[in-house]
Amino acid sequence: MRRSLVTLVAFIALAAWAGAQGPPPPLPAATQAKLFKNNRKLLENLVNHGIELAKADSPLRRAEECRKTAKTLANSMERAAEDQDPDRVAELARLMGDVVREGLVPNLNAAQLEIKPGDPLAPQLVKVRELATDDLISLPARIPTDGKVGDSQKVKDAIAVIQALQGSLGKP
Amino acid sequence: MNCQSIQNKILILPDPRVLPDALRDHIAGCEVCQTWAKQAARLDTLLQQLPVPPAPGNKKATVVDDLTRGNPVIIRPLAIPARKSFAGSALKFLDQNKTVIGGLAAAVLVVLGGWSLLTPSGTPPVGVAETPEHPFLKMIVQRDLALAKAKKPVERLQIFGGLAEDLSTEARSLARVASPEELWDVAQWFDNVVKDGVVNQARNMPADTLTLSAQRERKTELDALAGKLSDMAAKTEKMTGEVPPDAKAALQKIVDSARAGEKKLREMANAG
Repeated sequence: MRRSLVTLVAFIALAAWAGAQGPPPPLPAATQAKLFKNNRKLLENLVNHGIELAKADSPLRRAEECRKTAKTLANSMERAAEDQDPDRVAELARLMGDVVREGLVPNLNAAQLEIKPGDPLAPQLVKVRELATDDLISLPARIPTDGKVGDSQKVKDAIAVIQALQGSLGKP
Repeated sequence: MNCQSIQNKILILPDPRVLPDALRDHIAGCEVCQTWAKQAARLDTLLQQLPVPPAPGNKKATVVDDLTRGNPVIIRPLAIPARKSFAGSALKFLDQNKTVIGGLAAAVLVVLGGWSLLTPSGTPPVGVAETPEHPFLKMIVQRDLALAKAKKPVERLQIFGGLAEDLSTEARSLARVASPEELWDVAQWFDNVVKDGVVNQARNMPADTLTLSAQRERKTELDALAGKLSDMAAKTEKMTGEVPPDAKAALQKIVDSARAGEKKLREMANAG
């Protein structure tokens, strides 16, 4: 009897865990169309950034392209903030954070290892790092601090994560 | 008095066959009530002729004893012995296995708590519509990040193959709901990815610079991606017959781009 109860509860627990792992349900068609409409220009830019990233033949060039990708997302964030859409601002901020953390920072670090002081590309490395740092520092000023967007905890959290990445860029 | 009241009075007579004067005058002049009176009398006669079931043998003696006994009329009802209840059995079981059951209950609570943390949180406040996240947008950013990390042309080739697939799938799912201009944009992006991404990366893998085994791997990769492009073309072409007319041009562009890319890859695979 005891063994049956333990088996039953273990089964229920596993079923609950398995259920939580499933993929999210597809979006309704109308929602999908609306999201595509809102992000149409951004998507075009991101596809082009991908093609340019593939053409970049060094960590420095990839870092520069990642910086441009992050800036594209920041520009869209600013427009979403003007549209008073805190969810979209937070979503774009998260994506920007991913690009900085997983694309820009590793490539900057790889470039740093390749390019020694005195190398002709050293000024360019410094420039990329400066621009990237400026982009992150200036981000909060582009997003309102009050109203629907400024009061959103999701937006505040997402911006805080990006700001924390400044330290990962290293000193210009 | 009306017929209804006459008939009611007939029913409560001790003997319906004997009618009082007050009712007789009405019944004499009313056929309906005459019939009623006759039926009531007949019923009474029949009831009297019904056999009476015999009483138990000692029933008379019992009744007489009850009536002549000196005890109070009201007697305390008999106490019925308690039936064994389900609740009692359950409580006994719980008491005997309280340690195990307590542990199981705690495990269930932990699972439910974890489930509520893993799954999306509850409904937003009334009147506040949330903008959902855009899975396709996230997918494109992930492809860009993969390209930022890729070291070799073959890796980039595979990523572009995935990106092309994402774009063709998105085009098919938007075909019935997006505007023709929006669909055409997706078709154009697809074409760019195939030409500037897939085919370009394949050119960065020239066979003559590779060892024999690397050449075989290259051919396998190119053929595999050519097969995927063919698959994308087939799926998209199938859909052109199912979408509004102004969506067909964009889907056909994707079909043409995919077929052109497939042809190019197979040429490169075979030339190696």
